[in-house]
Amino acid sequence: MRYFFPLFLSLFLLNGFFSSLEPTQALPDFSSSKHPVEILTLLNLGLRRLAADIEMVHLLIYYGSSEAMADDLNPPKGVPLYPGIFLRAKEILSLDPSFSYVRLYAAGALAFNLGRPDEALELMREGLILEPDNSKYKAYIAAIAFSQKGDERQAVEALGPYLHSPKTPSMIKNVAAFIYLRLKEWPQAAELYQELLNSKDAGYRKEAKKMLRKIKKRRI
Amino acid sequence: MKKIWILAVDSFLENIWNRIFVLVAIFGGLLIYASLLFGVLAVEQELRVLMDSGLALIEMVTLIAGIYFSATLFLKEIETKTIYLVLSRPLSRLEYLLGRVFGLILSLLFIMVSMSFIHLILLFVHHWSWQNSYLWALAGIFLKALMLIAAAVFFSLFSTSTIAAIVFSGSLWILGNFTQEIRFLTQKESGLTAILSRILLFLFPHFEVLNWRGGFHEAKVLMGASYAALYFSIFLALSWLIFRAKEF
Repeated sequence: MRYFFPLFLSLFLLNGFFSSLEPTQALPDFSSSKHPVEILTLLNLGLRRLAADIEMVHLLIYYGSSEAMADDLNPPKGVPLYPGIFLRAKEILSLDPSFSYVRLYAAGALAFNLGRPDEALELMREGLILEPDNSKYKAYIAAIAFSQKGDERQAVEALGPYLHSPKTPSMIKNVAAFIYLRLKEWPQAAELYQELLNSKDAGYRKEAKKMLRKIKKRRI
Repeated sequence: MKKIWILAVDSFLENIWNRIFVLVAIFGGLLIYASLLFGVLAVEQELRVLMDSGLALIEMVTLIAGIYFSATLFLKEIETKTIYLVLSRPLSRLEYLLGRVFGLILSLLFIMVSMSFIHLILLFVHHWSWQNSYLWALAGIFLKALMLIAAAVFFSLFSTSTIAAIVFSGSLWILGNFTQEIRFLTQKESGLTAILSRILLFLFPHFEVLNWRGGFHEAKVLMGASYAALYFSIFLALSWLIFRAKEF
């Protein structure tokens, strides 16, 4: 039994040494979450990414479907539409800061659909702190800034090369296509709607089909 | 070496025919199927969700099976008195211990490979293109399982109670996922909380070094693999010390 102590000591030292090698991480903030038990259980099992995925699904349901709370769709005076979207996105990003889809989706919705560019910019700036070389975030910031000034053409042009990326959320492509329509730039709008025909979201596919028919009629 | 191998294969076959193993395999298959449904809800992020939920389920089932099999491995043989028969043969206790543990490792590998096979089929059906990071993720899960089974074997020999061994190992699993946050606390807090947090860092394993889902980073993989190997060896040596002195 004389080997017990040295073995335990080496085990403690081993744990201490390896724990000091990884960067520290704050506990994710899920104080505003509607599913704290779900998240905590997954965190206990070391499944942070899955917790972020589940919260993302909740975010998509919240923003993209009729399951949103009546209060969020018809808020009292002074309260914006979908007030929870920013906090929900922050919560997901505190679980998985590298989840760029959520950052882009929420920022796009806030800036281009809900008229809350400040919150969108905050999400983008946080993203740039984590990934300073991410040019997609930089393009988004530029697009949001142009959109704040009311310069829609510059806003979509700032997104330029990323608009056609398969990783860009369909919602952003849809917004950009709509802006092109307003600017009467039919070919660009048609190109984006054409891409949206391959979207995994049936809602955007349906919308793209309808809009492509309209564009065709106008051009004729 | 031959004796260890025979014991390992025997343990492996015993686990394969164990009803719980079959249940675990069915459970894993069903849950992966459920992850497919969950993936549909994620719309544009279907592949990511399918990947994450599949790997998470593989990890959970492997670790739960690992803890359960390790905790019951020796206690069941002691209860049924099978251990007397085996140890009365020309076989050292070290060979017996190693044989049983390697058998357990083979069983876990089998569980992991079977579930990954189902998972990969699902991913390929969804037009996923192969990435080596998948293998690294599985390797990380396997090393976590190695660390936990070594600890669970030690606890089962030390506590002589299956439930206690499962509870101790389960606690290691849970707290081992929080070391980064505990370190954060040591930096933010002061006084007793900071001291206690520091002590916890030395007590619990650090599973984050084995999280290789982001892909291959040579230094991280090397560091994590050496940590798991050392951790496994130390716990196995501790188990051997207890097992050697044990009277049946």
